[in-house]
Amino acid sequence: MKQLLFHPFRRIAGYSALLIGLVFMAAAALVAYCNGCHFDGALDIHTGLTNPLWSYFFEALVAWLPLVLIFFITAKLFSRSRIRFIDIAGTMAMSRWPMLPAALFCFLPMPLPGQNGNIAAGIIGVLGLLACSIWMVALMYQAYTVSAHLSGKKAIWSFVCALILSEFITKLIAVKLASVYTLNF
Amino acid sequence: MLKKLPFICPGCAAELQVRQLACTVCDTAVSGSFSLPVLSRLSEEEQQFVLDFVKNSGSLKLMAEQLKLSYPSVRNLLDDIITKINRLAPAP
Repeated sequence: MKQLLFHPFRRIAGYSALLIGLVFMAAAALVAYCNGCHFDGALDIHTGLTNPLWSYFFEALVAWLPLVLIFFITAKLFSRSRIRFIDIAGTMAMSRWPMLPAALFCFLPMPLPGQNGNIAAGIIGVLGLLACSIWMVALMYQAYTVSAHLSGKKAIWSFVCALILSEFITKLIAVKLASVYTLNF
Repeated sequence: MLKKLPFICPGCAAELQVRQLACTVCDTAVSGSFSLPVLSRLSEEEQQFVLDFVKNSGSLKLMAEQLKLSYPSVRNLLDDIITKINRLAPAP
C-alpha cells in the first residue's frame, strides 16, 4: 500500500497510469464542482467561486497537458535513455491523484477572504491542501525520473526548471481562458 | 549449493583473472591469465535479467509482465546493465 501511494511508478506506467490518472482527475473535477475548489495551474489548489461543470474538466486538462509537453521536451533534452511520450503522459496524470483528497479538504468550512469560517477547519484545510501539494510534487518528481531515467543533480535541476515553467505556462493559459469564457477562479 | 563465481578480489577489490583451467575427465590443466567474460562479471541479478531478456525475445513488455514492474522501470534496469557492460568492455 505504501509503495502504491508513494512509489507507484515502479509498477504502474504507460496506458494504465494514464487511465488511473484521468479517472482521478475527473473525480477531483466533479468534487471541485460541488465545493468550488480550483486546480487552475500545474501546482495551484484553492477555493473560490463556482463555475459551469465543463470548466472544471477543462481546468484539469489545462493543468496537465502543458505539463506533459514541457516535461517530455525536458526529458528529451536531459536524458540519454529512450523516452516514450505515453510514460510521461501516464505517470504525470497519475501523479495528480492527490488532487482528489485535496478537493475533499475543500469541503471543510474554511474562512474565505471577507467571509466567516471555522478557524480550526481553516488550519486543518490549509495543512491538508499543503500536504496534498507536497505529495503531488513528490509523485511528479518520481514520474519524471522513472519515465526519463534520470537521477542526481541533473534530475533535480531539470525537474525544478520544468516545474516552474509548467506552472507559469499553465497559469497563463488558465487566466487567458478565464477571461475568454468569463470564469471565476 | 551452487557456488558463486567470484570476480572481485576480497583482499584489494581488484578484478580477478582466471589462472588455471582444468579438464575434469583427464586432469589436463591449462595455465595462463584469462579475463572473465563480461557477462560473468555482472551481478547474479543482472545475469538473470539478461537471461530472461533473451528468453523473452528481447521484449521489454514481456519482461515487465514477468517482473511485475512498469515498462520504464524495466527499461531503466536494462539501461543500467548496458552502461555497466560498456564500462566493463568498452567498444573498440
